[in-house]
Amino acid sequence: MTRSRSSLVSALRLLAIIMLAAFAAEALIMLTLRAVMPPLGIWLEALVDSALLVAILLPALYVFMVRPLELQITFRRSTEERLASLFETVMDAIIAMGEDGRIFLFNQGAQKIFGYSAQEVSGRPFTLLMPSRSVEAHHQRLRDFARAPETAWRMDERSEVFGRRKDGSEFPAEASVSKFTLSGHLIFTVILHDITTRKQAEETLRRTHEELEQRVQERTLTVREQAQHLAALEERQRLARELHDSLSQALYGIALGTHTAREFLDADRGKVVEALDYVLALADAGLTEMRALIFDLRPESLELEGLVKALTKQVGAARARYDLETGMELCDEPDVPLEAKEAVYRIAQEALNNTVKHASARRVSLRLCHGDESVVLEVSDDGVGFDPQTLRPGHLGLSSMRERAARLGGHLEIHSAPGSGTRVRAEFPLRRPASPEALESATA
Amino acid sequence: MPIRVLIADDHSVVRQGLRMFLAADAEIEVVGEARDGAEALRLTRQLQPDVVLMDLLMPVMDGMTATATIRRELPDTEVVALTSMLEDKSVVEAIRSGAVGYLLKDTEAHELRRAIRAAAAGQVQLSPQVTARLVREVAAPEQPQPLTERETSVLGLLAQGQSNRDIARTLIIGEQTVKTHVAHILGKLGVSSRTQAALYAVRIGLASPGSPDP
Repeated sequence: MTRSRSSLVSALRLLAIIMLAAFAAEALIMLTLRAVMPPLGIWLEALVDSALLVAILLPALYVFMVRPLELQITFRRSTEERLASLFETVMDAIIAMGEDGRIFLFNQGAQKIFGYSAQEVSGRPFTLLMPSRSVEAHHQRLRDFARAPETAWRMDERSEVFGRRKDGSEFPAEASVSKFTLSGHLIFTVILHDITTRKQAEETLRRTHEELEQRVQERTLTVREQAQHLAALEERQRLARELHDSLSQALYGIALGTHTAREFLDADRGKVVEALDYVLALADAGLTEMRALIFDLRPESLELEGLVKALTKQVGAARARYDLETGMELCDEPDVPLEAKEAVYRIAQEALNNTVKHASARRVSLRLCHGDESVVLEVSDDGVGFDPQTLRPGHLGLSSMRERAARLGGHLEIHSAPGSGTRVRAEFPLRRPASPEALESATA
Repeated sequence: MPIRVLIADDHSVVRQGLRMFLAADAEIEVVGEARDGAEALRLTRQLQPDVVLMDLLMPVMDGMTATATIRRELPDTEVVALTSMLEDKSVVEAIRSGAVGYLLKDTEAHELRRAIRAAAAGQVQLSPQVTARLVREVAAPEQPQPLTERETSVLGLLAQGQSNRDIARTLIIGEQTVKTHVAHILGKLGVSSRTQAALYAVRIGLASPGSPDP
């Protein structure tokens, strides 16, 4: 509307300018003729006047009216040509149809995508180009769209669109429809893009991702199994070491004592008694050891008998086994989950083991106490000590003790120096704030 | 004169038992006890015992390391390895370190006394089964210096399990001379114990495995 009004205004303005120019030219001619020419008579005068007027006005008319029109027409024609070539060379399918759904325009792109020539589909229904299962829905949507106020509609917004080629094969597509009215007729234009390659790429990507995910899971499982296997192996080695340190030595001692007793049987009663006392002490120590080992072998022991009792047994075994002076300061059973008790127990075990193996200590003491916030375990000895800085990683099971503590949100400190004993201190919060993720990361 | 013995074991109950058991034998005198390899080495230097009973698995310094050092520094002290584990690996390593014999901590306590006496007398005692394995496992000297005729005879008798005195009697020489010959043999073969020398003799066919004289 605005556009037609403005063109009307400009046309009227042009007409006014031309009339004004004609009037001015005519006045100029008349005055000049009267001044320079003798009276020529009405007819001759009119002839000269008209000739001059035309001579002046014609170039003006050409410049102001004809030339712009010419240019406009040339421009329009070239735009159409360009549009037409775009229409034909674009890779997408551009299909136009009437309100009845019959195709009347089918570009090169459409021919390439669908496999039909323009002649083959001209005048045939658009539904020819889609799988039969979508025809009904298509009709409905097209009818709705015809009535709707919007002028454009993207078909793939929610559901996937499929096209059907001449050979009957289907392909996933992305399409949009626009509508306009041409001399009273409703025209639909469909622009459609074959997305098979993209879909395939997406599918490949998805499958690769899935495979990767699965491999990661499998690998994680393997690593976890290996870790469990390793832990079981370490546990077995520890038990073998303890059996070596305890029972086999005690039994050997019993054998030696018995032999001695037999030899002195008739000769020296005092020596026999001494040997038998030694044998009895060893049998007693062996039983203590055996109980501690059986305790270790039964995972439920800690749950049934409690941490305090377990630690008492451990310290007792160390005393019996290695002739150590021992001290114990134990509070009542802390109210912590079993896994925390197990961590405390294993750390105590490892620390005691270090004392026995490396410290050359005379005395070892163990302390367990808890307040409202945390549980504290301390194992200290009066042995040779070491420089914690120079210790290579993984030695003395220190890293495994640290890991156990960290897994429960606690921490482990080692205080030692050459010549001044060793103190291992582990502290755990009573309420563990750590999430399962923290546990995971600590394990990793 | 009794055989002077040093006990090296990290288990106090074992040291106590051994001391008690060996005290019943008038020919054996326990002169010291060590709790680890380092202490064993220190006490051996100090006490110069005839025989060290050496546990192999000990803290601070293990028995193999202590044995090797003792054999290098004090060749007159013989080492008998004593352990609760009968593993091929530890037998081989004990012999390689220079132990003259290897005993298991078991109920055959009389073996222990016999082994101590044999070690003190310079007698190599190896069971036929162990010998076969050791001949395979314990490396032979690469390029031994040639032995004299007399040294070869001494080595042959030594490999048959004869003591210094037996060898002296057989060859009609002094016991001290036999000891000198053995020292030369060990030096020429580049080994640290009579057992290793005996294994070499078996390997070169000077003696047959598993035929020790009783």
